[in-house]
Amino acid sequence: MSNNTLPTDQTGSTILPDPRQETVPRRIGAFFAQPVVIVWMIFVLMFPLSRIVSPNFPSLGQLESTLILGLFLVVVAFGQGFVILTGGFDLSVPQTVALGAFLTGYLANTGWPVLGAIAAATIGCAVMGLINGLLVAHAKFPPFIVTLATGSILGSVLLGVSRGTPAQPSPAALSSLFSGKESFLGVPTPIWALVIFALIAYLIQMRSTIGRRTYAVGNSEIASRVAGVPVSSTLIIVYTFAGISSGLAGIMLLGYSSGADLNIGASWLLPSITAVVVGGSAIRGGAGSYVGTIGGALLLTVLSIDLSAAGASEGVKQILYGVIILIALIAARLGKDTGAART
Amino acid sequence: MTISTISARRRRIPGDLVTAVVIFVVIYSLILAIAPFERNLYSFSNFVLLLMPLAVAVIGTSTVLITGGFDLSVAGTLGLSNVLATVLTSAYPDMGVPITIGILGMGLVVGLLNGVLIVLLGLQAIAVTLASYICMTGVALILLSAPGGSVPIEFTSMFKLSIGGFPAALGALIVLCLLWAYLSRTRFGVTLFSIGSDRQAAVISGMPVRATEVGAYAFAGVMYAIAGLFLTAVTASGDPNAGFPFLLTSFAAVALGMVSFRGGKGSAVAAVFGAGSLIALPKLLFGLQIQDFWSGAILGITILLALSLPLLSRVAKRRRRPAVAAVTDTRSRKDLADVE
Amino acid sequence: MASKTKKLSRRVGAVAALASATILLAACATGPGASGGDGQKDKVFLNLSYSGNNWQDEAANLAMAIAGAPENAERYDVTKQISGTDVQKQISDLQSMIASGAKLIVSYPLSPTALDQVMQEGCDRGVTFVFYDSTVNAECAYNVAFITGALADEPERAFFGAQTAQALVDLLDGEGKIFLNRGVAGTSTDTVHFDTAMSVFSKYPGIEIVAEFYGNWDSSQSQQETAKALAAHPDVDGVWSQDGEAGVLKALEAAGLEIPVTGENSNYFRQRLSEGWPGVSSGSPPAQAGVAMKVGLHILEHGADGIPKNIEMPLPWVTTETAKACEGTEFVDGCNYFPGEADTFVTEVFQADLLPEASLDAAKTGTGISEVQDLPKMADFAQPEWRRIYTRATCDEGWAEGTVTDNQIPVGLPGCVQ
Repeated sequence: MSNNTLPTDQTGSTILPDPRQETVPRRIGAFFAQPVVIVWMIFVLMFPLSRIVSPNFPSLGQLESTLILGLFLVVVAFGQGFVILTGGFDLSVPQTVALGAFLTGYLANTGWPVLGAIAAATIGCAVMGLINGLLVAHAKFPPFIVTLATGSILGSVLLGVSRGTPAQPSPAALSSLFSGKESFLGVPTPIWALVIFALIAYLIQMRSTIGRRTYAVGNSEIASRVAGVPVSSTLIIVYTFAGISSGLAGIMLLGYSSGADLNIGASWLLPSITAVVVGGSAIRGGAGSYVGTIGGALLLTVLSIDLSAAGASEGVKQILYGVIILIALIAARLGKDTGAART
Repeated sequence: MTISTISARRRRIPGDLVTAVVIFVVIYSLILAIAPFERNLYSFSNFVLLLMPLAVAVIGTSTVLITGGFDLSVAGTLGLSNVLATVLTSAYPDMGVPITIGILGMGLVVGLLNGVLIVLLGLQAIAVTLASYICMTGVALILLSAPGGSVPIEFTSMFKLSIGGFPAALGALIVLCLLWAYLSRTRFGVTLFSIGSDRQAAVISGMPVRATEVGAYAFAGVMYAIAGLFLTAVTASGDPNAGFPFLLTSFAAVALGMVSFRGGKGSAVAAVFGAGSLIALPKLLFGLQIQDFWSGAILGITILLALSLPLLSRVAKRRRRPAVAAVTDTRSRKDLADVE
Repeated sequence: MASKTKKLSRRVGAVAALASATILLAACATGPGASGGDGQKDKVFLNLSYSGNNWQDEAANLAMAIAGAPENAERYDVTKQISGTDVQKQISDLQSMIASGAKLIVSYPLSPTALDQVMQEGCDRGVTFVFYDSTVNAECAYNVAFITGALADEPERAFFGAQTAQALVDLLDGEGKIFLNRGVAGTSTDTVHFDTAMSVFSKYPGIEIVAEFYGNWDSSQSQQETAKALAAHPDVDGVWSQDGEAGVLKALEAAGLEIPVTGENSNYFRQRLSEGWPGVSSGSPPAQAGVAMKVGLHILEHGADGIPKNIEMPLPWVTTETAKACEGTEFVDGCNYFPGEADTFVTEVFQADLLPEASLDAAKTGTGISEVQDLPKMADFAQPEWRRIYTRATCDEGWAEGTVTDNQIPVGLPGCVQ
């Protein structure tokens, strides 16, 4: 369980935890022992190690693919990670991703301008997140189950609404942006999207007021309430952001695949949780850095690419995938992070 | 909280168990009311057999939840148990009993491994159990690359035994529930609840916290293995992907059983009734002739409604008790602080 | 004590109130046929497992359109049910359907073996079961499947996996590096396709399989998996794919490659074929579901005489040379795809002999078939005994497992021999 007190300064007023504190090293050794750094080190290590599985690795193409394919996981893992920071889960990710893709494709197809369709879809997904947030914050339902239930309901609604046309085409502008065919200044456009999104998300989680409040709430809801942090509205905002980020991932996937059906989100739930946890976030909330989550997401992507190249059977690939996740967890643990609350 | 207070609490019938039972009874009664074709022992027997895998699995899942942990490996152990049972009994049809014991051992070993990684190495439960789920699915795929295999009738009939029309499996479930109820009153069980309520206090009190936590995961592992054996009996075949649906259904069942996701409260017996509600719900929807795609929505709405029950009773309770008395009563203090 | 009973009754009251609310909600959501039920019409169920993608949607629509044709609608009460991907739920739903007095159940099975016991109970009560695309082992059920199917005009050339593998080899002149895009790991359909394809590839030492991945029959996942494989093998020469080939093509296009691809029947694939992309389109037709419903209703109406238990759908076959856009909503003049439809729309909604009355509308809306054509002589579409082992896991009486050398190309595949 998490500790129930927040530090106070000399005047007795509560100091909200500064996320930056986690990355300020006291010694060089302490720097390298942080889970965030360890996850990135393992990620970088995967490149020279990939020589084992293919003579063509490591390569620029491998790095490009990692970043292009990793984009979706980085986006989804932001929302999931933000929710996990508060000690919750978002299991409605698959359906919200599908909602984002479906709404964008459907509206654009019926004549809406592309930006309008994207905006409408984003708002729709924000509403979904808002509903989750309200149920968690005001009705005090356990997030795991609430998001499971709302996701289930959304899935049904989508199935019913989409009768006859479960697959939506993508507007051409979106496809050219995310398919990886186009480049800007020599770098494929999805990679630019990754950088821009990561920056914005980092600022939201690590540098903004809402970010600090989220860490406070994740550390201890009771203490936050006592300290005057608006817990309910913070939770609602967090879940809304999660909804938006799932929706954005859906929109990007729609562009990448130039079309999407209702199952587009199905394969992203478990990886989103895995990326967050491998990236060093604590499941009980209150600790974790988005930089770590990005590292976790990219690590999982490059791992998937390397395993694909290894040519092993599916069963062996699964075992290797699970074992390497365990290794990453143990390595991070051995780094002895003190900020994370243990289960 | 002292041990005696906890024990004293436990002697009263837990409200959440009552709620879970009532939900199940209401759903099943509605089924009987609406669908005349379900009003026979044969249908009930089918229902019980279908319920067994999930019911036994949630005994394990809820036990771990009570300690404040999380166990996603249910899907992996269950699936592997199913695959092992199929592959081994197809090859050695006479060795049903030794194979069963071996599979229970597998569940125990996996649970112990989980427990050691989580408790002794301090890794996060959800991550470790997720990783072990992935690994076990891989092993299952290697052992059985596609659904099939023919489980001999001698094996399945062990689990589908029928006594005067009543499934013997029901008896097994009752025994497991009684076993759990007994365990929850022993030192082991009391420690489980204490760990979930306040781990530090439990450690300070001198309770065998680490051993108990590992024991919880090991116990859960055995439960998952048993659940996999019942699944094998129901489907008479193996499927490397058999475990996947259980990831979400076991937690949905636990929620319908009113078990707390924060730990420290709840009853595996209530979770079993929650599983019953979950398995019965599609039958109710069928009887009502709900349109095809609505079933997911009805499931979600039912879960939300079930979750709102404690809320309603808490609202009712607050209206009746004055605030001063509430603070001095240990139970209410927990309610005030309860942010679930 | 008194307070405890009050609390108890309060809880019970709350649950009862909420339960009634649920029932009211559910009652509003009920579909047609909920009003007590007409005792005269026989009950027919269409039971889906997977949902949410074009293939499943079109298949279900075709089956419902057949059942909804006026001549059928007045005799049968047809309900569509989605079980989801949990096999226990499918077992439970089948049990409910049998118990409620179903006469015919047309279904997409989640497992070839798990439903055996339910089906046995159903067959004992006189229920007719017809399964489409994915097959079951149970003897009393009918299978309508393309998995072992042969080309309509060359009935010796069988198996989607083997035929497309051979086509790819021919397009590569027997040499080159290839990817294999498989379906969902751990399913019998994927295993049969893969095994029969491998039996062809293994005969050509010049063919090297450099990557094998699972696109899960999904276009987007296939695209991502192909992109990952391309990172390691940018010099690939060809791709053998199951469903999801539209995504394979998109990944190849993003990498600037136009290499031979064999896949299934997506609109996008056929469009690119007609524009000159080298390859062959074959694979699973959603029409199977319509045929399954026709077969089932025929059995209810006229009995089971002349209907074989194992029905093979002919394999579609469209190449770069024969891909042609349809102008209207029918397959006429040899056209075989619809330019206006989504990329992942599965084009094979017709079958000249078995389902000529289908239309694009029927596949998209589930209505619009005004007259059901009679079935042709079904014995012509019976699965040959030597292929039985792939769909029933055993051979017929008088047959045993062996290697098939006659009447089938490719020669030398495992099968049943007398």
